[in-house]
Amino acid sequence: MDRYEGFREFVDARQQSLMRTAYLLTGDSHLAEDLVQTVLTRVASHWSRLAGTGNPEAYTRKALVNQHLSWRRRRSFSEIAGLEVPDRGEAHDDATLRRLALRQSLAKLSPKQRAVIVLRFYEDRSEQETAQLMGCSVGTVKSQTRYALSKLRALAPEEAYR
Amino acid sequence: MNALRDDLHELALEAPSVDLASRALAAARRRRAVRLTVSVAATVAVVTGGVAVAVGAPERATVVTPQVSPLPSDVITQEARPLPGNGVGALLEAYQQQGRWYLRTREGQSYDAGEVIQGDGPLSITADGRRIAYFDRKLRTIVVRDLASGQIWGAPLQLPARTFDAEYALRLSPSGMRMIVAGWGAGRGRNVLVDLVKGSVKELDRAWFPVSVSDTGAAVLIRPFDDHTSLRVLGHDQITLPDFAYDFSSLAPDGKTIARLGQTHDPDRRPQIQQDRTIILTDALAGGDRPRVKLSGVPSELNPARLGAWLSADEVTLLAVPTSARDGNAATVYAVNVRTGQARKLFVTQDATRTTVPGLVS
Repeated sequence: MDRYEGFREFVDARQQSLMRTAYLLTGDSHLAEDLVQTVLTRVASHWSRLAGTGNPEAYTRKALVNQHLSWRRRRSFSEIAGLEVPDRGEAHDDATLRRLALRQSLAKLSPKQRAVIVLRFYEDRSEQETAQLMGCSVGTVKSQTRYALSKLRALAPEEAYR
Repeated sequence: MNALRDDLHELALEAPSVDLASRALAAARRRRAVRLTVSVAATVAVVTGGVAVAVGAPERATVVTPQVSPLPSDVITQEARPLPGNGVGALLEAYQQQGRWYLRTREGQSYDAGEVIQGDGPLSITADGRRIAYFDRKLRTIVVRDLASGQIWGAPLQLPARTFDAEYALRLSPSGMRMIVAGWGAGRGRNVLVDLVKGSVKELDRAWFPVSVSDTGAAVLIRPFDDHTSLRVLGHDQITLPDFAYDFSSLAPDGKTIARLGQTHDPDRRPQIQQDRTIILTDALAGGDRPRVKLSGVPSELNPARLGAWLSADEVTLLAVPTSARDGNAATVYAVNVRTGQARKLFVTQDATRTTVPGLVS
């Protein structure tokens, strides 16, 4: 039996979702692709065990977050370059302005703060789930969320994310 | 918070479409042989003088430059039998098949170590192949086992069972009496330097990644950044290398020279970091790179991946892994002359889920 049987189908079904999360975590499409490929390579390496008795989805999600956090050691993160929030005089609606500001603000968060924002407000994870994925306590999730939101509010346009 | 949720979902839609299954599968197949530690023992058919493995006297151990003679190209592998309590010769490699660890000696004897080494925790082999270190689930610590005598030393650590869910590194000194246990990601809280003789544990800064540790406790630690890498030998000032670097050798017999694989960083390529098939020597204490030396003698189908222990003042071990899983190549260990870049083939590793050979910085 092929040791990777079922892996391709697993990836086909989830890679886009993983890429979106990775993109939010890293803020860079190339880094996101590197991140997802790194994680999927690990998943493939353990596939025979994961497919048999494990939970590949949970393992992959957790590995994605762990890998993102551990990259701090391997590489410092690239800041999102070049995007400035346009003046209100230009033809941009409030939502567009907010998103542009959000991109820049996310880049200024620490990897851990960025992860809690993505997991709590993009993936809609509970505090417990977020703590489990990040390998930290619920208290840490609460405090990191608080710090991250404070930063986002300070950096985002007025009245956003209140 | 609905605005934040909406904006995050809008931002996420900017992620490009990808098709990563084939790339991940190819990388996974290559990776089957990546967790390796290179065997000095495997390359040393004749060692004169005592290699620093004397139990109870590691502090007095001195660096011995082994005399090297070629390893027979074909090692006959016999059927694996259960790992006995003692009387096992120096290892060529350890490999994992279907979740079970097997040990293969230089003489070609294979042992089933599945009852001794359980789980996915680390397995490291001292550079001379005579001792192994692994996570003992019952004792919940790392133990070092002398394969010939059967003597076992336990590290004074109490590790949670989930310790090795995360990425980890286990570095052994040549005698196995000192080790660094480090990890990152979930489930790991400490990076420690352990002295098994004294029974002491020293906390290390978690921001630094361990490369190697000597029998005198000289730990080499690195901290890579995008455009430079900090390196320090414990007890000495840190030095700065001018580029991102991650693949280092252990310290050379002179106690200060360290080798690393040259690489380039190009954000427009994938992967962004590419090995450039060079080797660079640095003075780990005073700093300063010597000019890059181009590697020769490693076929283009193999990619230089890891460096390891030194075979002499001029030769360091190198692991090269296949660039493609489809061409039938296997990970191969070389000895590289760091002055000329010339590599000579030592042995081909076993095709297995995971392979561990002694000495490499993996």
